[in-house]
Amino acid sequence: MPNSPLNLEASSPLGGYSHDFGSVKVEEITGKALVSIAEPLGIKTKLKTAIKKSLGAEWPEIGSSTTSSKGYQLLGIQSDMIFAYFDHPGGLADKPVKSLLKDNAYCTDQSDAWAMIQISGEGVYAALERICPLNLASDVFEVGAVARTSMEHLGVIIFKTDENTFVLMGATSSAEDLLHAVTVSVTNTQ
Amino acid sequence: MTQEFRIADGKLNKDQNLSFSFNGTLYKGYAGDTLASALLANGVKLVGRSFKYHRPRGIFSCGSEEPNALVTLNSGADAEPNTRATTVELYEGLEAHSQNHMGSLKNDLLAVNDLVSPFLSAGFYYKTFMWPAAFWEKLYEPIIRKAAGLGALSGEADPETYDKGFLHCDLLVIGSGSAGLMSALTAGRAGASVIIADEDFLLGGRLQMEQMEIGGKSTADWAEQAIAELADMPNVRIMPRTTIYGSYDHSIFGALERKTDHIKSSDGKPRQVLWRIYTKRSLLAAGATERSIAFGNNDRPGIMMAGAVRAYANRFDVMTGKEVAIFTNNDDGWRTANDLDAKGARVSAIIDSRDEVSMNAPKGAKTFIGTNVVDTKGRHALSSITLSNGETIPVDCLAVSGGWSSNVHLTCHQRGKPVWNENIASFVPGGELPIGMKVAGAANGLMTLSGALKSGRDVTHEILDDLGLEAKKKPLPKAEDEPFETSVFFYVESGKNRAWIDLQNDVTAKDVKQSHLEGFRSVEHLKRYTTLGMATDQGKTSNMLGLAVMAEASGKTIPETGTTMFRPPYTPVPIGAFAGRSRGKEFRPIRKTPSHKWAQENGGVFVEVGNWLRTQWYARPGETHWRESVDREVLGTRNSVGVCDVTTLGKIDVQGRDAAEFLNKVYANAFGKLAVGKVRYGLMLREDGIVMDDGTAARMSETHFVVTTTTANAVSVYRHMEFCRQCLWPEMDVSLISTTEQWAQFAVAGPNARKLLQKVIDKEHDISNEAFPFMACGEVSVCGGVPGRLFRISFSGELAYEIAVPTRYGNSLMKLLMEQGEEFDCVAYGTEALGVMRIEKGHAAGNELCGTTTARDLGLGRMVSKKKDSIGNTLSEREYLNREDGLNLVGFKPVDESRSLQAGAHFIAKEAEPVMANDEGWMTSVCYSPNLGYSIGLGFINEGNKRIGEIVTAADPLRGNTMDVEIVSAHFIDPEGERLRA
Repeated sequence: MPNSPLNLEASSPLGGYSHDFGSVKVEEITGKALVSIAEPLGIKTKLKTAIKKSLGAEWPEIGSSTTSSKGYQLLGIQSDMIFAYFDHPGGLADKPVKSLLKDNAYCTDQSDAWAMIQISGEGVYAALERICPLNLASDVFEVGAVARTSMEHLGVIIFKTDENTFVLMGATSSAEDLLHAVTVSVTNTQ
Repeated sequence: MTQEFRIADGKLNKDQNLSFSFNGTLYKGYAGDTLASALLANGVKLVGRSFKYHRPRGIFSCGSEEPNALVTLNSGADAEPNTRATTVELYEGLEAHSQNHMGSLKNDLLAVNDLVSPFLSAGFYYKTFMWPAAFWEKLYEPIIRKAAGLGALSGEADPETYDKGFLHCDLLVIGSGSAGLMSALTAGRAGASVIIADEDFLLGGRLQMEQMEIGGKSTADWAEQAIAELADMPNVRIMPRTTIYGSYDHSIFGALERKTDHIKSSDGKPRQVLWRIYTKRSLLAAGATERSIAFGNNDRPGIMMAGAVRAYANRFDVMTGKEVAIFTNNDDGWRTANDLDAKGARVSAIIDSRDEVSMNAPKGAKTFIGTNVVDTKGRHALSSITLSNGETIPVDCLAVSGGWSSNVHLTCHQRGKPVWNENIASFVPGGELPIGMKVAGAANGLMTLSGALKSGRDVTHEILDDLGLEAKKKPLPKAEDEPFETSVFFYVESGKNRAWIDLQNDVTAKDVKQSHLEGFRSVEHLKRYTTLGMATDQGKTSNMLGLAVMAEASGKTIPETGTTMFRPPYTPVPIGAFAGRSRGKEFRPIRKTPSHKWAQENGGVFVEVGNWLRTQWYARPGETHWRESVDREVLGTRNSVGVCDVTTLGKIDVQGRDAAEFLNKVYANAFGKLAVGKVRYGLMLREDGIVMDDGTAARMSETHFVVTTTTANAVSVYRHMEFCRQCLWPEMDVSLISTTEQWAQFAVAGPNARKLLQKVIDKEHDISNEAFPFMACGEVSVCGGVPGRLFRISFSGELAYEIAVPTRYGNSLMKLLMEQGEEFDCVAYGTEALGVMRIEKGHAAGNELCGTTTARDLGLGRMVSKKKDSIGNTLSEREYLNREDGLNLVGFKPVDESRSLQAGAHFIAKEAEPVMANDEGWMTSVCYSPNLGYSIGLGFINEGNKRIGEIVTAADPLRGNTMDVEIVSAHFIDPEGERLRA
């Protein structure tokens, strides 16, 4: 690590927001990394094998996720690209993934591009149906399901991590507006 | 005031008293009342004035079809005009006002309009106010609008909030009457996800308004039991107070749920929610609407729909009169008579237009078969009716039934055409229904209770089969088959007396006949000429009457005449509900740059650039004008060093074995041989050879480029590149992903830029001119290991870099650069200074890349490499685009240096007339150059490169700023580029 008398302070898009509304809790997720893993043309099988071997997870189908024994959750967001979602304290998160997958994938750090908001609790469905156009019913959008959608004109990735828990990922620059949309929805339905 | 028309016994819970006011007078009602039922209970008959003639009008119906009883609820900013009293749920403290009158409701001065009605017939304003033309907007229209109108808006912002939402279901049941409830029960028991919606606050539809039985229970009790069973099903969502107002593509429905309209205060919650409901199947069980019969003076308060009169008695415990007569053309009218009699009302007479009737009248009621009502009397309320046999009967309520029309509206929202059913004299759903929709009950022409229940169940069985669900076997509850025989009779010839067809828009039978005489043959033309059915009720009670009169006038049958098209919304939807949360600052999202917080703390003045909020300039204490700040920032940067947040520029990671070749094809200039660690300016053309965007591409490794775009085109360029990747060249190994938000990027420009960066970039990275020359790029670390990227590129023309760190460090890096730059008098600069410096340098930006200019126009023609193919390359060779006398981008300065140039001025030869024929080009960008001390500009002018030093006129007649300008080089500062290579 280079020496420097100077220091840069990291700040999360929502300043670590957390609020308990009663039947719903809304909180910013920090300390998680998001890395895109794209398939080099023609070597999908090789990439799947590498992912299985190095990350310990299957390549997820679009709309679903897989979980590895090594702490990675892989989100199937499109046909030739997935997102790896995992604990990471800071620094470029694509490096460790890249070092595992080597030339079998094109990796790009997306951790700072996305603000992550967790919304959980019994009232979560009532709140989300005010902004999320997707059908989130338990038998349709099961735990582990993931989808790209839009909420209040903002592009959002929605990831169901537990029966009453969702992670919403939206652009960092408009994170405050996404949070506002979420909290207004919660307030309106409490 | 006592409720003298209230029936003591009945269904309504009389324990919960409610107070309300109408036109300032306090009244009492009960929970479960509508405003209309409570007014009727209190003997209030006159509730409004008609649209055009200001005729006294009373409550006509008991539902959303109401044409007359439009009131304004609340006052001040909360006022809501044109609300139907028949659908307003009574609550404590409700405040209502009548509307559309001058003076009191009873003594409306504008009632004079009625006296001049012969001059106000259909289309009168088309004919009358033709001359002089200028008077229309200034005189005629304002007067007409004032005299003929509905309620008035408060003019203040709506203090209520609204929300939107999305719902999904296997089956949407529209209407909660007998068919709807039976359907929801059937589907719910089978495990389907069901939404059942009804516009009423009390579910059950007509079941709540009749004295009939299902399975040995009253219809109301059966409805209550069904609702309780549905409420226990987790797969069923019950939505009262919810109008399904429109049927749209892909089986999507629009719904308006009134969340808090029935309580005094919304308490900060949204008043209404506009739902978008995605359905697999839908069942329209919207029932039927009773229509009237047009006869002389049939619009007086006290003349009501017979079904409504029955409903007020059965559901609301209200008698609508002390002496009631029935005028009917069908059996159902007789049921009203019998129900009223059972409730203890005095039914004076039943007048049936048919020659043969097999119904029994209640004891004491006179019956007149083959007889019509031809006239009525009573100024502010009905006092008597006159029959076609000459007899006059004193009554204060006349219940009229012209039969029932199926509510087909939602089947027509996607151009479905209803078909005529002679048996019930009604149009019923026909032709192509919206995809996934089926219809049951009275909406499908089944006018009996048992028929509705059976069709609700049977049609739902078909739906469940379609969905692959198995229906539970359960017998139908036993119900009556009430008589419903009807006749096609809607209009009584009434001599001089006006027979009203459309009560809300004041359209008479004479108006309809007149329009036919004037040549309006199509029913759609009739509608527009007379305004029949065009009011807020969409003619729910009147359309059939109009059609009948039209058919008679034209000698056709009703089905030959046809119907007009029903369109959404079924009932009015407030604009506020359509807007939802999208008001004020929530109209659209805002994107903030990583250094937004620092900018806020340091005088940043922001401007919207697309959705981004960018800092225009940083105002320092004592600076009184924006130019002071901008000039300081420009001079500070050119003389020492400045920092600007340029994160908004689009960034795209391009990776793959074919990444270089991909960029070769996308960009007009070559990228194949760009060395790793180097950046190149890139020009992107559209297929037609016009410039699309410009930016840079930095080669971080053999297989990895970082492409930048302009802020405005970040999304469109990314989309274009994805199209190229996926559709044009799918055989190429290329992967794209946006990293615009991942990296906070800052331009550090000025002679001391390197010195400043050397303080924050870790010592391991040599950024000297020798090691890191102009157009170099590479990965670095800052402040002891924070990963970063460095690009030696310059938009300002100065020695400059762009440094990027992960966004989380952006605000901190901005702060640190400014702190570390104090020894150099470092300035932060915004988009204005950025603009000044790029104009001084002659760099093109959005104003020049305007979608009409070519690389040649911009002086970049040689960048379009002919050694390779690229998008736009071929068409950029078109002769016209390469003509000798084409446009060139050059600089301009005012001959009188004290004057300010303005963008948008057009160039013409000196002394030439300022007309388009003499147009030679236009000024694209201007600024005041603090370095030169005068205004400068960039612009396109024919053959500009050959005309350096020529004086032309920059014509700006609209703004009165025409002046002579000199054509100069576009490079005002450092034309040799020595500074940026320093």
